[in-house]
Amino acid sequence: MGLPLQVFLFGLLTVFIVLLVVVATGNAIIWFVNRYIGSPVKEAGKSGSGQLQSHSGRIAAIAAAVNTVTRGRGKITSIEKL
Amino acid sequence: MSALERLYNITAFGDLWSNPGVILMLAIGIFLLFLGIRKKYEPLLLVPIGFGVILANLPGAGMGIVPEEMVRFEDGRYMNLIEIAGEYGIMNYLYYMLIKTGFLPPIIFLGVGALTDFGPMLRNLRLSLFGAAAQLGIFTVFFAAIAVGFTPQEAGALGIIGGGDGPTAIYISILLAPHMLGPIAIAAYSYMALVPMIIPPIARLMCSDKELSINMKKMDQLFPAKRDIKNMTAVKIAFPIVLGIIVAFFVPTAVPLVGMLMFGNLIREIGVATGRLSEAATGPILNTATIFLGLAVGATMTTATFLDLRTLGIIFGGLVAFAISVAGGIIAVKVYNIFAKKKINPLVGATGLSAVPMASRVANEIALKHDSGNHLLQYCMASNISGVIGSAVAAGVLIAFLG
Repeated sequence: MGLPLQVFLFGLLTVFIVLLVVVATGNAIIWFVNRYIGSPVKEAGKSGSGQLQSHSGRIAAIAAAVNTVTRGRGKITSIEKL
Repeated sequence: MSALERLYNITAFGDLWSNPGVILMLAIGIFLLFLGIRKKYEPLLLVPIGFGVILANLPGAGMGIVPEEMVRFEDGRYMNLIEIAGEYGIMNYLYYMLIKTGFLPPIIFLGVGALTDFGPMLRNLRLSLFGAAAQLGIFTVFFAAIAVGFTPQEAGALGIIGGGDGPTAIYISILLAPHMLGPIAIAAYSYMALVPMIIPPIARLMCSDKELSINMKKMDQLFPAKRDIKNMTAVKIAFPIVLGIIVAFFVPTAVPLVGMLMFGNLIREIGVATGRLSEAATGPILNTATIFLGLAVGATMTTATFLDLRTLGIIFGGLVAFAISVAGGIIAVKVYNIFAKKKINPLVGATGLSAVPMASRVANEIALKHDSGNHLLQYCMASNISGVIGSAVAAGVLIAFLG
């Protein structure tokens, strides 16, 4: 097999395998954290923490969007429903 | 008369007439500045590169980067940095210290890591695989470039443009084909900036309206994830550590890039304790690296290296690599959809090249045109971020085979 074909085949295969490993590693870490570390302890008496939890998915989505648009430099100080 | 002649010799006009190609190079430098300043195409890179081109081609200024042979002795040893600065000026000093050593691209990866949020990828891990398909352009163009007469090293440096990752393209060029560094850097950053013009026509050509309307949120509701992530902070801290080590075992040659990416991400995710490091990585260090990288890369583009038919081949080959990478990601999603119940919008595959986050934003806008409630950004970011890892790994493979 010539060098170009080798690089083509092994190159694509290696990238695919490494990204499979990324997926497997991510899943393994999530499993480990869920099983042995669990949810972070919330500070008692923090006002509004229950409401925050119920909206955590939306807050995460807003935070990710702000992060993407501002390239990680933006900071959310408050979220207001209009 | 002799006084006038002496005066004329002091100026650079004589050099200009003896090498009129510099006028074209100055025009190219001004055009790059125009793209960066007026069109806002990757201004952080194109402005320093454009100005570097101008500096390198100012007649008599001695700011252009000299070929490697001029700083190497016959016995293979190199001049030291003081000798290079004394002989060829400050720009060559910067180039041979920061670029030729391969120092700056990993430093930029450190900053990119500190700016990257792996959260969207961790929430949609399976979408990461499309970052692999989108590296198709790298290897296809590598193959084709050899067929048209490039050496394997030059073909590798040319193909990596298809990864859509500027620092990786520069890193590979330094190691495999330093004489092609200027045009490759220009092509890589130009196409990254032109993502809004490259992805939409390919997506429209390859996908039906029905496919572009696949609503990922609705798919998530129909087929919910099997588990939640209970503690995202812990996952995000563990992820760069574990992944950095594992990738190092698979592709050790990718460690300078992936390792620095993961370190940058770790100091970001730890939070307040390493906040100062993260701020330094994303602010002063990244900005300083960007300035020197841009200027020094621009200064490699002298008339002798740039005004060459091969440069046209690099510009064209880079575009083809970019387009094939986008198409490769789309094809992978379409193949996946044949077998899966939970369909994926093909635009997620189109963002498998690195160009973060521009590719995701563009894909999101296309999806919103087809369905105003179809926000794809989070999903596209998953494959987009994995594309950064994918292109760094592809670079590692090319170095291992061709370095």
